Amino acid sequence: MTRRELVLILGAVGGPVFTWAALGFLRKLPSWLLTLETSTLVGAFAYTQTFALAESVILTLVLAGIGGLLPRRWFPAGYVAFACGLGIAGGICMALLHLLVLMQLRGVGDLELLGAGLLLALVALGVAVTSARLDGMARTTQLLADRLALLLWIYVPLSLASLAIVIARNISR
Amino acid sequence: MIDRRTFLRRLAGAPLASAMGPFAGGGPGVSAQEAQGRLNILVVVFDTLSATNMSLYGYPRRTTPQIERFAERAAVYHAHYAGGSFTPSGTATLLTGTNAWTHRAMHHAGTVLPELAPHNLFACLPRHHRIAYTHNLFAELQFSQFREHIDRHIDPAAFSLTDGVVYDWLSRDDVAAYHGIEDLALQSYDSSSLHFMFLELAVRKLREWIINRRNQAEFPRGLPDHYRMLCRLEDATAGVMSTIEACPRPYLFYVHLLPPHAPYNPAARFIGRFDRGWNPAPKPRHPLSQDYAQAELDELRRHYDESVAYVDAEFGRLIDRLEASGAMADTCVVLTSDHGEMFERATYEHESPHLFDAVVKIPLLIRWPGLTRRHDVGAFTSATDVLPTLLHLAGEPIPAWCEGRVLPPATEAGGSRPVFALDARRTPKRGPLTQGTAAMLEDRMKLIYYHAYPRYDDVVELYDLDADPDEVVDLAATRTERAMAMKAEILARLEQAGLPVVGVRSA
Repeated sequence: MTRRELVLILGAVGGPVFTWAALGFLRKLPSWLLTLETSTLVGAFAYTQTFALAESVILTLVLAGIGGLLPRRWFPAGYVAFACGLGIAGGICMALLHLLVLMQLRGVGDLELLGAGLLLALVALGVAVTSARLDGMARTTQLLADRLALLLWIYVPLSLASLAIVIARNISR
Repeated sequence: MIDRRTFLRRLAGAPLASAMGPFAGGGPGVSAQEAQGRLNILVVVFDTLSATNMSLYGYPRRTTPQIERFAERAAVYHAHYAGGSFTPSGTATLLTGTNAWTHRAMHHAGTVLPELAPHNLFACLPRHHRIAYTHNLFAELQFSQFREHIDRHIDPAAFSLTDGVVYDWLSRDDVAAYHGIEDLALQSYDSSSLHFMFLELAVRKLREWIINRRNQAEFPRGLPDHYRMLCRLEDATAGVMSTIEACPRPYLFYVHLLPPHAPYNPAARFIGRFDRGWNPAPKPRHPLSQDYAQAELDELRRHYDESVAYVDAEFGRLIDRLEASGAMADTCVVLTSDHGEMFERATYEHESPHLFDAVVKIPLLIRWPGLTRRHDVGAFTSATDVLPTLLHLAGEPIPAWCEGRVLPPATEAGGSRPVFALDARRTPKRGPLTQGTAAMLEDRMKLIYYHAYPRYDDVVELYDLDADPDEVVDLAATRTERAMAMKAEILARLEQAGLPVVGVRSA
């Protein structure tokens, strides 16, 4: 897999992951501004971003690793299209699952959540398989991944700086 | 069996006199051994243990026979109040000997002000081997602030069946890591982790299911749990005993255990124990009430009471083991809680703006070597008093920053003074008080002050706890002068502490 392909997959996976992490942080920010000391607030943000970086990198490596194991003939339009489709559609489906949990709060049962999760995972897989088999769909997902990869110019430096903060905070204790 | 009201009325007749009795006869003063700082101290905190649900204090259900046995040679405080209505504020008040408006650990996962972190019980006992253990994540966060004064911090997983939180193996930077990872990334709702939260949730649920199935015969409702922590009190009490047996002397061992906190999952032998018989009379709805039906509250209360009985039995077992090992001869044992639990006025749990007795009146029993009989203390006491009392018993100086006082019968009873509780979880950490509830107790009267709640702003309620221990007859309209005086006192204290109440009408 080329570096360009890896960046595309990282964009497809990391774009939604980092955006969701940023939204989560912004949701919490008003209450944290009231209750946390500034240094703790900076630390909490750094942990959130570092966690998002780890999540993005691990999922990207898993997808890249799977691509190396599966036969290429399964993906007529290319494995990268499959991985990008799974990254983007999976991200959107997971966001929908989060919204379902948020709407229901604690009222949603484990089995309902499991059922909804499996259904949404199937939808994401369906989108990914379609991307891997239809050239038009493949072009669309890769184009989207390319645009999402632009966000990495913001997210990756921010999360690397966050990682440095996390390391510094732990060394100093 | 006497009813609760009669019990309290009788009690009110002989509170301090009883407490003072021993001094006349050379009773339970501080011995030379204790004054030399060799007294071992074991503080056992059961999370969410409300005094109003303990038969020790007159509750109609027989929930605490073992604690009553322990009380036969202990100082028993009948009107003891937590600093707040949930773990951070209650625990910080106990550990720092200061009110919530001073330490400011008054939010979800709250910690004390960094500049006040050196003011804590562990720091005050430098000659003791200081050990801390808790099942409760929020108490654990406060331990992290006191780390430099704790000689041995026992990991929550040590006496539990699961590892508990994730952040503690990722980081030593507990407070920020908790907020960034536990409270945001891996929170089961409102999470910032798009994929891993569900992965972690699935793994956790599967693990819990396996562990609960393995323990189903003994714990048919599942094990007591909190976040990712599944525990059995039996393991915790055994762990406490083995730690005590092996640790250097003198020691201070602070143990904060989860039960009877929800979910109410006691051992099988306690389930169904209170299904028949007494049920409480419903109390009127409150303007800040939730929407729980009385039948639902009654069922929850029964389950809670079963958990209290479970706690009681395990505490009894711990005391028996301490006595059998001879450890009680040089050990002061404290039993208390961080806050209570509410099953009344259509409101459940302790996540509400209320400061009724159910959520802030907690047990306090202290037994130390030399006490040969029970001493009942009826005066209002506060969680801020535990720290100075223990320091006094251990022969250590009481620091000037401490806001509590040494309790009788460890010393002579002082004059009357007010006791406070505060709930300000929606207010900025460094003030002013934008929304909150404060309670003040003095001379058998209790004032509850509500600030800035929707349609319930700047309201006071006044209760005579002697005549009305259930807090159902609000006297604020008829005893206006007293109510206004107590309100003015609360406002002045808040102002003095740098937590002024904004937008309030003149007292």
